[in-house]
Amino acid sequence: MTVAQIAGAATQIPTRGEPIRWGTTLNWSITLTLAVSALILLGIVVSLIFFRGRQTEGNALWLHLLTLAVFPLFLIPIGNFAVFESATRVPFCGTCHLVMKPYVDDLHDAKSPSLAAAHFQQRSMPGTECYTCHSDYGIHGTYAAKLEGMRHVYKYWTSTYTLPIKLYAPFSNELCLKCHNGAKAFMAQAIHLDDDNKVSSDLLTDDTNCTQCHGPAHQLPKPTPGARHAGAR
Amino acid sequence: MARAWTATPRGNWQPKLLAASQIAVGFAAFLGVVSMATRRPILMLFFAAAQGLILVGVALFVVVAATAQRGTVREQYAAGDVIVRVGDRARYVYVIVSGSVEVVTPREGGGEGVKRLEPGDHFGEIALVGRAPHHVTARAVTAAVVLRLAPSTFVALYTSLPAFREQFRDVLESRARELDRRG
Repeated sequence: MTVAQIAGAATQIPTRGEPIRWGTTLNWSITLTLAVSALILLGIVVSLIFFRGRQTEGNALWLHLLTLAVFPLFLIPIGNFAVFESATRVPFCGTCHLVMKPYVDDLHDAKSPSLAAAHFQQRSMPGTECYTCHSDYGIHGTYAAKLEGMRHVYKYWTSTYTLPIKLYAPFSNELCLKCHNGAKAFMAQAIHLDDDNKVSSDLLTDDTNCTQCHGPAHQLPKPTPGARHAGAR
Repeated sequence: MARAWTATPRGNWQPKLLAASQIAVGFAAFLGVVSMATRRPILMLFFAAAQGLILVGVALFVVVAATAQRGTVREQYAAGDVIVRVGDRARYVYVIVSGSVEVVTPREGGGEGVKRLEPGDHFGEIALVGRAPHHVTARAVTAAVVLRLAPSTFVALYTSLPAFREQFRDVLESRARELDRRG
C-alpha cells in the first residue's frame, strides 16, 4: 500500500470543485499531521507501558525526546498549515451550512448571474472562491481572515447571529483588483481606466464599486428577517 | 567537603511533570488525529487552538530533561564529610567504591548506633520508597568515593543483575537480623 493510498483512506471524497486527484499540499499536510499525531500517541502509550517511572535513562530519553519534543515541534507548523489551508476551502466555509448553504448553492449554480457563480465557472481560483474574494492582501489579510473565521465559528455554534448576515465593511474594490488589475480583459475596457491608461481613481478609492456594474455578488433566496440558527436554544 | 559534581535540590516532581507533558502533548495529538481523520472544521479549529498545549508540553519536557537525575554520579568525599544527614529528603542510593563510611542511627531514648561500611556496601535505600527522609547520618571516615544512583537506576540494576539483587537481599536480611537482635 502506497503513502497515497494510506492517506486517501483518511481523506473524504472530493466535493464539487475540489481536486479529484490525491497529492495536493493540503493532502500531504493532512496526512503528515495525522501520521505525526499518531506517532506521538503511540510513543506515549509505549512510554506508559514499557518506560513507566523512567524519564531520561537509556532508551526512555530517546523515546521521550521524540514524542515530547521533536515530533510535537514538527507537528505545530505542519498542523497549522493543514488547518489554515483547509480553512481556505469552500467546504470549510460551507460547514456553517444553515448560514452559508445559500451562498455555496449559488456559487455552484451554473445558471446564476452572480459574480460568485461566474468565478466558480471560470475556475480561476478552484476550491478557494470564498477565501480568495473575502480575504485581504498578504499575510495580514490571511491571518485577519482566520481570526474573523474563528469569531464566525463561535457565533455559529453559540447561535448568536442574526440573518441576513452582513459584511463588516463595504466590499473594497481592492479585493477585485488584486486579480483583475492588469488583466487583458479588464484593461481593454476604457471605463476601468483614467486618461493616463491607469486604473480609474474612482475604482481605487471605491467611489464606484465593481458590483454597481457587475453585480450581484451573490444571488440568494430572500431570508427571513431576524431569523436565527435552527438549533438555537 | 569535596564533590565531583554538586546536585541541585530535586524531588519526585519530575515524573509528574513528565506526565503533565504527556497529557498536554497527547491531548493535542489526539485532536490532531481526530480532526485530520474526520476533517471537521470545528475539530480542526480546536486542534489549532491546542497548539499552545504542545508548546506547554514541550516546555515541561525540557524542564524534566534539563533537571533529570543523572543515572549514576561518582562523588568524592574527604574524611569527616557528611554524605547524608538524618531528616534530609532521600533522593539517591549510594554505593561505596573506596574508603570507609560510618552510618549513625539515632535510637529511641537517646544514644546512637554506629555501623562502618566498606567498599561494595550501600546505604540510602530509603530513597527507593520515595518521599521518605533519611533515618541515618552517613559520614566519610576516610577519603571515600561513592556512586550516587538515581532510584530508577538502582531499580534497573536490581532487576537486570542477579548478583546485585542477591547482595542487596543479603544486606537487607542482615539489617533485619540486626534490628531483631536489638529488640
